[in-house]
Parts: sequence; structure tokens; C-alpha cells
Amino acid sequence: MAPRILLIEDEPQHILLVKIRLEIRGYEVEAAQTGTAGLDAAARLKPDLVLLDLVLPDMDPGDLIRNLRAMPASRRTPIIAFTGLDAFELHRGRLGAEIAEFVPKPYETSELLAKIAALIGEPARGEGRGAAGGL
Amino acid sequence: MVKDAGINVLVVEDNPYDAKIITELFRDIKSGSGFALTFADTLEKAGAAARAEPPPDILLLDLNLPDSYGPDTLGKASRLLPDLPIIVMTGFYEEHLGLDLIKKGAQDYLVKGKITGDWLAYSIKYSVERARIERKLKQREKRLEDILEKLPDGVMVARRDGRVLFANHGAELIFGRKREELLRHPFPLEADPEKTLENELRRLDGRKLPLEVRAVETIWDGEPCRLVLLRDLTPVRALQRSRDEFISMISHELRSPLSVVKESLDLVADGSVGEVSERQREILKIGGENAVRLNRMIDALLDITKIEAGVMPLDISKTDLGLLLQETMRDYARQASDRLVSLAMDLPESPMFTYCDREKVREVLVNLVSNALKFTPEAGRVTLSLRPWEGEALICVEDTGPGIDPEDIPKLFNKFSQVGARRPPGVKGTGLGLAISRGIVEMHGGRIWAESGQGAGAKFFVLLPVLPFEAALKAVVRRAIEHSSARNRSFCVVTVAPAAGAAGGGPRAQDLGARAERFLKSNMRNSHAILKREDGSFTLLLPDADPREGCRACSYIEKGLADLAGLSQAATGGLTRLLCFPGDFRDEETCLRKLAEERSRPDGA
Repeated sequence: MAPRILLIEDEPQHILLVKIRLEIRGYEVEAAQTGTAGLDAAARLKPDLVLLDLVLPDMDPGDLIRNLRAMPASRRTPIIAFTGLDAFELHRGRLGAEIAEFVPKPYETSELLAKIAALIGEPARGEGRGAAGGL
Repeated sequence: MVKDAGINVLVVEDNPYDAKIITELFRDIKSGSGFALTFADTLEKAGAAARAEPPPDILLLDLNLPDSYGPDTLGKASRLLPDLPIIVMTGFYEEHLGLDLIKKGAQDYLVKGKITGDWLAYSIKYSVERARIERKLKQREKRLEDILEKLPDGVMVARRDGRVLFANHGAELIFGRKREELLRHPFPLEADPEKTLENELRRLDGRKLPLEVRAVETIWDGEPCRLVLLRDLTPVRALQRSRDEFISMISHELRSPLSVVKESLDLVADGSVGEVSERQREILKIGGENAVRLNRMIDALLDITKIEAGVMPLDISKTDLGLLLQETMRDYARQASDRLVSLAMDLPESPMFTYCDREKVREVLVNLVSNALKFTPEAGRVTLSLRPWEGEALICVEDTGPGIDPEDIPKLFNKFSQVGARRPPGVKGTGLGLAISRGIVEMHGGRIWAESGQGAGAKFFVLLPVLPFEAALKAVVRRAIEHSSARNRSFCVVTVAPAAGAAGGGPRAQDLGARAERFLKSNMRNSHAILKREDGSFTLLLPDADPREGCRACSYIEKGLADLAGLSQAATGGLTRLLCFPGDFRDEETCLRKLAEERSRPDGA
């Protein structure tokens, strides 16, 4: 079964692009646009990885991460954080220890894919869909 | 001086006999025509007469009148006719009375039967003149007092023992207390004539006020005292806060859409969503490159903002400056040969080391070298040199380009300076490179400047101090103290000695050291500064951290080091040391002394 990734990000256009990119690679991606929806999805989906935008409209990222860690479904799920914030701003509020990798925006796609692969591995060949999936 | 018009004298005397004596005295005066007399027999009538034209210049006052009797008459008269000089005249001389009257403001005390007309004339003239001078002095004093009172800043004078001798209205507003209360209590703030302090005042009403406290030594009534100036920093703080918020806002709000632009272009360009022709790919590549360029400009803007706010993090280690120049030259060798420009290097015989932020100094060199290449025409030459200069390191990047207008040189290092208007077509920069370079060099306690003759190429100089570890540490601690005390915040200095945990040393210890460095740099990214000493130990400055947070950071580091070395946390337990500002030290000397004491103590002590 393809590794499942939960993307919590409020910007629908960015969701669309990340989904296309990861689904081509063969990952299964579900997106949530708010922290609350993200927590629901995490409980339901038991994702292998959470991709998280650190600035969300409804929830402080620290609270969101604490809540994720409080649920059995996502107690140990690795988290990769997208951030438009400066590296200098990161690690505030003790976020650092729970976040496996930071991906500063704008990012190199190859870097994002490498970080994901390092944490949860790459899907088996043939699982990919989309235009270039079979190339 | 007495005016030509003469002196108008108002005589207040109820006894006609005495009034006659006085009139005759004036008649005796040799130049008696200089005085014009008016008489009143009560204080009340004197008040009316004083309002007549021309107004009197002086009052001759008898103390015993129908509507006032005795020495109190003087007080009543001066209240009734303020600013008018008064000479008291009585019939008999009374020793104890004279001095008392002068103290209470009389210009003179005369006995009617005992003086001559001339003496009276002198007394009147001197009194009028004295009163004029007094009025002027009073006016001047009032003006100064008015300035002091209307000043929004607090001004106080305190004796060495803390007793407050003076407080203005600004001080009342700042403390939220009446002047009388301020004068009753000892001066409550730290003040230092050597330097400006920033302090937080906790007012009785619970409000906290950030204050700037400046002090100068002064003499007050013959006693050595301190004149203290207090400024409410609330508006300054608000500005600082909005600047800090601006940094975060600009990062997120600009980078998120930029990220979408870049990823959209990449997705199409790399063929992920359908086949692309070579020509289409080329066009998409231009879009992608400009997204990257825009991101570089955001980085530069953030860097300059951080430099100006004094929060640019520093990563300091021992650096071979000559090697840094060589590396920079190597990085540009290709670009130079493409442009047919030759690169030359001039290094001193013995290497020059200093403790600095290597990557930031590299950024300065990169800025200077890439600028030089941009402006140097084909067959030109760019020379990098390093030499000792009065105990410091002088780096020079010299080109054979068109040079810089002398009047443009002072503007070169400003943000977005338009000096490069004559740059060759296609040469683009952020307009911030030299401003950032100046910020970086100044953060290191150095200096950067340019020299050029029109048409004779340009020379950019960087003078960096050659610092041993302790001096570099002292400088960053001083910067952190300035920054934290300005915001009334705490910070922690954490020393980590990872090598001490590995028994023996050798390659295993070296490898551990490198891994520890990676661990610290990726996990303690919010450090204000991180310094690596030659023996492999690290000193971290954690901003906004109180002792509790400092302890947490220490145990986090110890746990991380234990994981790295495959040991239990007990084995790495003694590897970190913690000092907190302002609890453990208030100045950089104390901090360094305590750090040195810690170092000389055996482990586990």
C-alpha cells in the first residue's frame, strides 16, 4: 500500500501543486485546510507522515503539534514543516524537537522529495499515477 | 541705569509731619529734579496710585498706617504691588527690625530723621537698579523653570545618598507620583554617569514603563549630586515590536505565493504534467530563475532588517582569512575566465587567523568580488589581497573598471543606493549587497570603505580585527547584553564541551565533535550566536531565555549528545554549563570571568 501523507495547509493552490507532485511519485495524499480539519483527518487516516504549514488560520502550530502528539493515531508520525518564516524565527515555542524536517518556502522540489523519502521511504514502482508516473 | 525721565517715587505715609520731612529731604538733593513724588496715606490708596500713569518706580513705605500696622505692612505692600522695589522708612532705628525687613524683600531700611537727601537719593537709585536686575534674574529663572516643567522627560537631582532634591513635572508623570512624594523617597533607579541605562520601572499603579536613564555629575547647592534624565521608551518599544513583526510578516506573506509560483513553473517545466517543448522549457526556466532571484531579494531584505535590529545570528569559529580569500577566488575563477577578466591574489607569508563568522565574511568577499567582476571590462583584472595592518587584517578587492565618482562613494554603502546606475546592461543586484556587507563587517567590529579615482578602477577595503576566542566572545556577549537590556529581557550563555565526553580523543572524538556541531547548529538555530572554540567546545547565546529555559536547553543538549555518542544521559550530564543574564552577570567582563572560572574547574565539580 502506498504511504499516506496528510497535508495540512490553508492555501488551496499550494495544496493542488503538492498533491500533484506527491501523487505522481506514488504517495497517497489527503489535505486539510485548517488545524481542526487536520486533527480529524489524522485520527481517521493514521498517516505515515504529516506535511504541515506552520501558519494556519485557526490554530497555533504549537497547539496543533501538541494535539497531534496527544492522539494515538499520530503520536509518533514524523512531521515535516513548510515555513515561509525565517530560520531565525523557527524553534520558537519548542517546535523544533517535534519537527523532523523544516522545508523553507520557496523550496526545491527535489529537496522536499528527498526529505520525505528519507523519513517514510519511496512508494514501490508502478504505484504512481499522473502524466509522468509511468515514465 | 536711571532713565532720563527721572524716578517716580510713591511715598506711603499717613503722618503729615513725616511726609513733610520726606519732601524736604528730596528738596535737599542736589539734582532733586530727577525725582517725582506722589503721596498716599493708606496701603489701599497706594494700590490705586500704583495703577496711575506714569507708574511708580519705587515705594517709600512707613510701617504704621491706618490700614496696616507693624512689620507685616511690608508683606502686605509687596503682595499688593508685586515687582515694585520697596524702601522701608521708620521714625526710629530698631536694630532687630532692619535685617528682618531685608530678608523679607525690602531693598533698604532707612530712618527718617537720620539721613540726608543725598543718601536717600543713592539708596533709591541703587534700589531701583537692584530690583531691575532681580526682575531679570527672576525672569530668566522662570524661563528655565518653564522649560524644565514643560519637558516630557523626567529631570531629577539626587544626592549621593539617594535623597532626591529636585524633580520636574516630567518625573511626576513618569513615576505617577506627586513631586512631594518623590522628594520624600530615595531615588529608586540605577543611574550611571558612565553610560546610558535602560530599565523597567514598576509604578505603584502596576504599570510597567520602559525607561532610558542617563546621569551626569553636578553640584547642587554646593553638594556633589547626580542630575538624572529619564525618558519614557514606550514609543520606541512599539516601533521595535512592529519592526520585529514586520520581519515575520514579510517572510511568510511574500514567500508563500513565491513558493506557489516556483512550484507551478517547476511542475510544468520538468514534464510532470505533460510533454514540454525545449522552447517552452527555456521560457519556464526564466520564470523559475526570477522566482529564485525574488527570493534572494527577500533574504537580503530580511538580512538588512536583522542587522539593523541587532538580531543577526552569528556563527563564530577560528577562520583562516587567506584561505577564505583563496576559496572565494576559486569560486569565481570560471565566471572571470568567461568574462576574460584575470583574477589575482596577494597573500601574506604567514596565515592570518581570527575568530569570526566565516560564512558572513565570505558573503562580504563574494559581494565585493562579484561587484568587481560586474564592472570590470574584458581584459581587465580583479585583485584580492590580504595584509596585516596595525594589528588588524586588511582585505582589499581592487578592479580595473570605470571607477566610482568621488561624490558617490559615501552613498555606496546605503540601502538601495543608485550608485550603480552606470552599470553594464544585464547586471542586476538587490541594491542591498554593500549595505549588508557593511552591516556584517561592523558586527565584527571592523570597517569597510571604498577608494576610487574616476576612470582608475575601484578599491574596496575591509579592515577586520584579529580576535582571539575570548575577545570574540566578549564582543558577542556585549551585543547580547545591549540587545537584551534594551528590551528588558534575559538571555543565557550555554557552554558545551562535547569532546570531554569522549574518552581518549583521536578520530572517534573528532567525529563526535563534528556530529555534535551539526546537532547544535540544526537544533539550536534560534541562538543569538554560536561560537566554536579551538578545543572543540561551543558557547551558545540563547536570546529571551530565562534560567528555567536555559536549564531545559542544557538538558536537551545533553540528551542529544548522549544519543549521538550512544551513551546514557548520565555520561553527558556534566558537559554543559549555564550562565544567565541578568542573574549571573550584568556586564561582559563578569560573564567572561565566570566562564573562565568554570573552565578551570575539574569536571563534575
